[in-house]
This record gives sequence, structure tokens and C-alpha cells, in this order.
Amino acid sequence: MNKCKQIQDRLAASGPAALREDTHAQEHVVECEACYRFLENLDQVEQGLASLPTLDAPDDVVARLLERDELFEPVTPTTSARTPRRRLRFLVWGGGGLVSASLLLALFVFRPERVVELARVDTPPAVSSFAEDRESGALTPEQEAALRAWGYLADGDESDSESRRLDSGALSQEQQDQLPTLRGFKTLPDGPNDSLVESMQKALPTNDQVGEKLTVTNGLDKTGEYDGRAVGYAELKVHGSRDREFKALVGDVTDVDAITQRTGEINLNSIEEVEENYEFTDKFEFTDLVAAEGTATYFGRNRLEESGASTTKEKAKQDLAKNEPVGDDQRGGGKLSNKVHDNREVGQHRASDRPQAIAVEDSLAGAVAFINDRKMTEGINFSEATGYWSNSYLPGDPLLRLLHARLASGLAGFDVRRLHAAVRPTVQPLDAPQHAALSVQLQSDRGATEGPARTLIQIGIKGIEHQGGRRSAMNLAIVLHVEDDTPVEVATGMRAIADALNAARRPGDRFRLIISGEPGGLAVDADHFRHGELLVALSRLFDAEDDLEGPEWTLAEALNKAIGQVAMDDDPSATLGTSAVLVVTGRELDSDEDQLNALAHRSAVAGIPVGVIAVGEDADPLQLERLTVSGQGRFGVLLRPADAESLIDRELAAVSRAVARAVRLRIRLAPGVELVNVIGSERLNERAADRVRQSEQSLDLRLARNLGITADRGMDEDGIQIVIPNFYAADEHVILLDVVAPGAGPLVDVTARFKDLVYLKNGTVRASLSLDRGIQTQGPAELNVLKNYLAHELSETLRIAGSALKRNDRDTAESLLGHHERLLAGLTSLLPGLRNDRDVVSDIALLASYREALGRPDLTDEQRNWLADSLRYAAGARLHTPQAIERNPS
Amino acid sequence: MTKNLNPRGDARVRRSVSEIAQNGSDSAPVPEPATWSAADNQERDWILEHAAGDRQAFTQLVGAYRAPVYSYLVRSGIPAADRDDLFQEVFIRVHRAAGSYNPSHPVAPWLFTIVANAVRNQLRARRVRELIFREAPAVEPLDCGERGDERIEAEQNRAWLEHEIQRLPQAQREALLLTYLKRMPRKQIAAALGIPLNTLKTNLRRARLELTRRLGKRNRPSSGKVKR
Repeated sequence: MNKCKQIQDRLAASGPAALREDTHAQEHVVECEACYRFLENLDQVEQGLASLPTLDAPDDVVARLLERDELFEPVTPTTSARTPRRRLRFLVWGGGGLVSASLLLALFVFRPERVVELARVDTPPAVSSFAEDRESGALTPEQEAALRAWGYLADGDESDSESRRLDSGALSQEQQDQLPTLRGFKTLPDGPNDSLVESMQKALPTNDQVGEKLTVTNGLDKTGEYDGRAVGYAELKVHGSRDREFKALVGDVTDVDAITQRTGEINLNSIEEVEENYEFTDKFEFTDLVAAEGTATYFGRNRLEESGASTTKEKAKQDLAKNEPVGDDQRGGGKLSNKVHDNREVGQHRASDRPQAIAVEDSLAGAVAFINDRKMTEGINFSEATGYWSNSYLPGDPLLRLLHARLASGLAGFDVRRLHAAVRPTVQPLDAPQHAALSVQLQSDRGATEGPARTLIQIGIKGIEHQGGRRSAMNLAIVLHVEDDTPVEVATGMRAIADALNAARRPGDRFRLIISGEPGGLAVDADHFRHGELLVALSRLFDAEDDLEGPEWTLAEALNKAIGQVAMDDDPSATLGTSAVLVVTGRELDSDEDQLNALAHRSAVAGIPVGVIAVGEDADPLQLERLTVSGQGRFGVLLRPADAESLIDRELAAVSRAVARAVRLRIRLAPGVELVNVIGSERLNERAADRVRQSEQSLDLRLARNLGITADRGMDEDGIQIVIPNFYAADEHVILLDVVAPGAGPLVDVTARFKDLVYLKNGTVRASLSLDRGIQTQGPAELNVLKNYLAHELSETLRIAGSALKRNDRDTAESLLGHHERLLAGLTSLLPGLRNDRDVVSDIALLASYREALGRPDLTDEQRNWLADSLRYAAGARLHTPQAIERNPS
Repeated sequence: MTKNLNPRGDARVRRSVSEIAQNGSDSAPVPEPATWSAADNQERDWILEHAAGDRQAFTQLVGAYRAPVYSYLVRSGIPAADRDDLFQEVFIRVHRAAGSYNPSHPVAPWLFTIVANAVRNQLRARRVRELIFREAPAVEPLDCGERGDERIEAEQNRAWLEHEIQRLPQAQREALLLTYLKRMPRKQIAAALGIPLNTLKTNLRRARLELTRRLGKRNRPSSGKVKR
């Protein structure tokens, strides 16, 4: 702790009088402007607090109090009943958690007109709240029945036999089926076309393909005629580092030009550009999805993936059979029906003439289809369970952090707030390791089987609770990206960061300040990085009245200089990550972005990660994300200068939070077990796999040099390989595999090798899982796996809905959310284990709330954008461990 | 010398450090009294008499605590619409709990335990309401009771401070309010809040730090464009 902080802490603890006897501290305060200001402000705060007036209660309130009937009741004497009272209180609070969680559902469900009060100490909250509503007539008999069934109305609340029967929990199947209706969910019109659009979107490039040259094919292929309607295959193929394909059979094709395929190459400059502008419907019109190749059709949202899972829902099957499209021979020689050549506008969807090929007719149908889909073992295209797959452990995901920061500033006058704030990942029942940095635990969504079984395998990774400890001395360069006319907010933020860095400086640290722009260069070197020099440099930078003269430095030049400066002082024996470069910017990067990314990548491979701090909201998050990924650094956002200190503290402490590095997971499926998919991950092509190998070996060698942990990487292994660069203390991560097991027996064997930074050794943990022979059982652990799968599905829905909303496609967003809401509601009815599950209940409520917000007729563009961000943030926060956000609030 | 919370004027006089240290208010804790004060004894008697059926004693207890309790509710951010009800609710709870009062302990920490818990419950309920019904949290402007042109600045400063107190994290706000409202010894405050003494000290220190930083921020010049 530096002297300023020490003195300010003392002052805060004891007030200005703390300095009375301490002349040494007084001398420091006299010389130090920051401490003097602090003292002066503290003194004023103290005096203000001391002189706060007492605010008296109005006389009429006191008079009414003294007339309250309760005061006429005799006081009940209580003897020494402390122990029982404590136990009772514990029970009340213990149960209160469950009741409160359930009550959230109940509140969402019934939306009573009057505001109810929660969590009274003296009476069970649910009972008192809803009893009041019942008395006021706010509850319908059905709602009362449901409340009673769920245990929210106590025995004494109603005396008729019907309520007692329901109190016993004897809800008939019919009543149970009505529960979703009771919950007030409206049936939304199905929108298969929206689903198609959404599904095509999934085939669009991803963030990590930005900067690539992609081959894109789109169009409508092999059209034909069936049952008087023109049908054809809509296609979208994107080939790059990640191949994505979409193919679906569509009906009522109206634009003959669409038959022509279009192939070309595009330079992908920005993912948002693609999401917002890529017109994949410009060459054809479709008014209905008839069937999709490789489609899972549960809950009416057609997931069109290359996995090839096809529908099993009985009704959908029948409908599809009715519309059984053409075979290859027909498609090749078919002709478009004249009747489809009408005057429809290209890109318009019509609901009126949609055949209900896969319409979901009741609220449970989607859930039934989902469950059937999860039972399917045949007719699936399997993936190879080998090669490198993408890492889905993203602590402090840059985009998520930026969204969080953007949303934290709120939206004036918009009362839909904090929907996303309640979104949390499912708590994982993972045991923390005791004698290693990581533990790996396996679980599946079924314990036993008597034959072939579709199974979800969950690989849970948990980091040890404690971390490396005190941070090492840091060798850091900070690059300020400054141009003419820097907004004062950005300038203030940059000053705050520089000040915070100075305040966080400890013996052994070597910091330096480099500036881009005119004049640019090394402003403060490592030997002179202290308050006075910084003050002068920053004043010269931001306060000078006239334009200063000097050489102009581009950001790439400044970054290059910074890397060079850090490299000069880099101690190869120091902990990896203690040498780093931080780029601070408040605007879009220069046009030489490729050069910047290349510099950052080279620096990272050399052991000097390059991180980024965005000041304000004007910076381009995608540019910065690319730079951060290239530089293997961290990404921070500073919206308020007051947060600079905590932001810098976190950046500097990040190194010591990592408990394992170069975590290599090898997942080997047992013979006969087929991989359907790795949920949330994708198989990497050779180019991407090369980068993973390169980074892993760089970490391996560096840690061998620094910490003496033997280098042991460089060889590919059999099975699925996933490499996680860093794993942080107390974090947890879940990887889900969708597989088909041939029957009872071994399922999977997982080995995790990692550089253990706690015990300074090569760590290895291994776990295996098998299925017993017998009838399937589904206890809490198995249900938890299913919940994690549902969380992934929800995340995907929220993400796509957010993207749709960003494009101003409210109908698609609303439809997606509605479908998912019905799926979850249906599942809670069909699967007893999920009925009162707080995560699922919260998810349903979240979807309903978002849908309600989207349905507002007076939604402005600004509010729509805000909601889109909120949806996209919720999508990430539903999966990522909250610590990543809470520890990094900016 | 004029001291205020908004020293934005450029002509501000720089006071010496020793002057501030000597004259500045002392945040040292109120010492734990060796014996009970007359007021403590009186309050204890009121509770015991009320438990024995004397309603007049309860009226006197309400008279003694109405202002501190009401101040606590206001500064905890309880909205005006709920404040009066909660005020009554607190004293109803005091009435109901009077039988459990331990006469070997002073009344203030016992009573403020009830107040703090009532406020926590109310705020918890409000957070849920904000989440569910999307009620925007609002910090109400406070009427501090002073009028007159010469008091405008003082009122502004006080309103700023009241506002900032309400924005503090709950634990810090509770510690600060009980420290300055009733001037109870810290051990009693910690007992009232149900937290260890050191936690209370930490919360107090953080509250002062936060308020001081915010005041520093408030005193900085407003933004504009800077030209390099």
C-alpha cells in the first residue's frame, strides 16, 4: 500500500483528527495535493454528517400509531427461549430462500395489480401476500388452486374440501396440463418463416472470422413442385476457418431468379456488418418452411444445423409426411408452379397462406418434441470425436463486459431495467479440488440404460478456491491512444487510469507511458514513472492551450515502442503475464488494424500479452476484441473515472488469479459411443488448430523457463482436444457432449493436463464415466445436466433474439422468446424435477418479461437497441460464471 | 472560516493541514459507558412498564425514538409512500417484541435491531419489485426543513449529502446512520446490526472513503472539450 492510500485510509477510519499527533503524516499531506484534497473533503463530509438534522415523524403518523389496535394486545412475555428461537429463525430463513424463489414465479405468473410486499419476518411472505390478494379479489379460483397446489396458500386459508384436496398435492394430470395456461402464458402465433431466418442466421460467420476472406454460396437450389406448391432448397454456405452451412427445404417459392446459385468471396470486416446487412433473402422468397435437412423441430423453432438431427415429434412427422417433398429426381426436373409467380415482394413473409407443416398446436407439444428429440438415437449425422475443438471457457468475455458496461449506464426514462441483471449461470454441484489446481468431474443426464441411449455427458472443471497470492512485480507499458480533440471525458478517464496505475505501483514494478498522436512517443519512462512526472506529462498532453510540436506517432508505432520497452526489461524468469502492454483508447483504432493485430500476436507469442482498456463508449468493441484476442490479453471498459482504481487493481491482480494454464482436455469416447455434437463448441479447421498449438507451446516453454515446470506439450492426442489458456481460481466451467451410447457400459474417459500454478507442477486429472444397465433414473445430478443443456439452448435463443432485435426484427425476436418460453413451461409440466426448479422458473419469467417489453407499441429505436444489448448480455451471462463479470464490473 | 460541501469557488482559501487536523471533527468512537445513563435507565423502565401493561410508557418510548427512527427510515431510502406505514410497523414490532427484551441490555441497540431488520426487509422487497415490476428506483429529494435565501447553499449541500448517503451500499449506510444518528458506542451498533465490530469499522471507513471521493468528484470542474 503506498503512502497516500495509507494516510487516506487512516483519515477515513478516524477522521481528520487522526493527523493531530502525526507530524510526519501532516508533512506528507502538505506536500501531496491528492491527500490534501482528500483531507479537506473528508473534513467537509464529517462536518456535514455531524450537522445532519434529525427528521421527525409527522404527528398524525405517531397519533395513528398510538391508536393502532395491536397496541392494545397484551405483550406476550418470552422466557429464555433463545435457542429454539434461533433454530426457528434458521428454519424460517432456510425455507424462506425456497419460498422466495418460488414466489418470484408466482409474482411473474399472476402480476397482481397491487404491489405485494415480500419477505416479512413475522409471517410467511407468500401466504400473507397472496392471502391479501385473494381477499382483494385479485386471484381467480384457478389461480388459488394453483397457488395451493404449489404450497403458497396455507391450510387455514381456505376451508372447503376442494382446497384441502389440492393442498395434499393431488393435482390431476389434467390440472397439471392446465398449469401453463394458469401461468398466464399466451399462445403466440407460430412463425416458421422467422425460424427459418433465424436458422439461416446461425450459418452466418462468427466473430472470430472477422478479418477473413470467406467463400459464400447462397441461393435456392433444385426447385420443384409438390402438391401444387413450388418447393426448393434454401442454402447458405460460408467457408472459412469455421465452415458453416445451412440447408432447408422451403415451400411456396415465388421468385424464379432464386434458382440461380450465387457464389463469391467476401472480405469480412465486421460481424455486425454481416448481421445487419447481409441479405440472404434477396434472391428468393419463401413463405413457409416445409422441412429442413438435419432439423430438430422441437418447440417450433427449427434448429437447422449440420449435425443432421431430424425430427421425431410424432405430429410433426405426420405433417411432414403429408408434405413429403420431392426426391432428387423430382427436384431436378421439377418446374415452378405458375401460381407462385404472383406479385409478392421479395423478402416478405406471409402468415396467411402458410401451411402448418410443423405447427405447434398446444403448449406441451414443443416440450414433447424436445423430449422425443432427446430420445432419438437413429437417423443422426454423427461428428468425428477427434481433433481440436474451440474453447468455450471465456472468463470476462470482452463482448460481455462491454455490454455489461453499456447496460450499466441505463437508459433514461426507460422503465424496463435490470432484466439481464438477474441472469446467472446454473450453480454447478462441483467439488473444489484440494490438492491440485483443477478437478474434473463427469456426469450424464441418465444413470442407466437398457439399450441404445441418447445421452448428454457433462465435463465439469472446477478451479481450486485459493489463488496464487500476492501479485508479482509488473513490467508494464501503457499506451494512450490520443488524437486531436480528445473529448474531455476520455481525457479524464485516461488521467484516472494513469493515476490509478501510479497509485497501485509497488516496489519492483516498472511502468512507462507511451503516447500516440502528435507529438507521440515515450512520455514517461520506467525510471521516472511517478506522480510529478505523470502530472506534467498528462498536463502537457491534455491541458496545453496551443498545439504541441513533435513527431506524429501512429498507434502501431506507439504499440511497437511499448512492446520494445517492456521486452527490454522482461525477465524471462518472471511469472508469465507479469510483462504486459495495455492499450488505452476511447475511439476507433487507426486504419492499420491488421498491423496492430499482427504486432499484438507477435508480442503475445513472445510472452508479453497485449490488453486493451476502452474509455467511454465510442471505441469499437469488435476492433478491440480482435486486438485483445490477438494479444492474448484482457479487455476492460472504463465508463467512470472513479472505477479506474479498481479496474487497474484487477488488471494487475489478474496474473495471480490464474491457478492453471495451458489446460489441455482430452476427451475419448468409449468404443461404440458416437458424438452428435459438443454443445457450444465447434471443430476447428487446421489453420485455427495451428494457432491453438502455437499458443499452447508458447505457454509451455515460458512456464518451463519461469517456474521450472517441465515442458511437455507439442504432441497431438487422440480424441477431442480442447485447450484452455488460463483457468482462474474458484471458477467453474461445464462442457456438454451430446452422444449416442450403444448401451450400458463405458461412456467416456477424460484427461486434463495443465500447468498447476498453485503446486508448481504438471498437473493431470482423469475421470471416466459409464452407464449402468437398468431402467433410466434421473436424480438431481442428472437433472442438473439437463438444466445445463437447457441453459445453452436459452442462451442461444436470447442471442439470436438480440441479433434479430438489433436488425429491428421485433417479430422474430418476440416469436423466438415465445417459443422458448412455451418449451420451458411445457417441460416444467412434463418433468416433475423441473417443476419448481428456480433456474427454469426464472428463465420462464425472464422470457415473459422480455417478450412483454418487446411488445410495447411505443418502443423507441434507442430502447430497442438497449433491449437487444440486454438480450445479448443475458445470453452470455446465462452461461458464463458470474465472477467474471462481478470481478470485472467494467 | 466558511466550510461547506461545495467549495467550487476559485477563491477558496487553502486551510493549513494542522488547522484541519486540530479543528476537524473527530470520528473517534463513542466510548462504551461504564454505567448506564439516566436516559438508558428511563428507556429500560418504559419497556418494562409497557410489558406490564402501561400504555403511557410506550407513548413515552415512541416520543423518545420517533425522530431517530424516522430519520433512519428516510435516510435509508424508504420511499415516502411506504415510510409512514413502516414507521408504524416498526413500533408495532417493538410492542410485540417487548416481552423478549432483556433488561440487562440497553434499549437503543435492541430497538435499532428491529428497525434495521424492518428496513432490510422493506428494501429487499423493493428490489424484488424493481426487478419484477420494473419500478425505477428513485432517490427522493429531502426537505430538510430550512428556508431562506441565505440557507440555499447549505440546503443544497445537505441535500447532496443525504442523496449520497442513500446511494451508499446498504451495509455502509447502516453503519453510518447508526453512528451519526444516535451516537451509540460501536459495540452497541455492531450488536444492533448483527455484525462483528471489525466489520462495522470497515463499513464505516468505506462509507467515509466513498463519500469523500464523491465529494472530490463533485468539486471537480465540469466537462468540456480539451484541445491538444
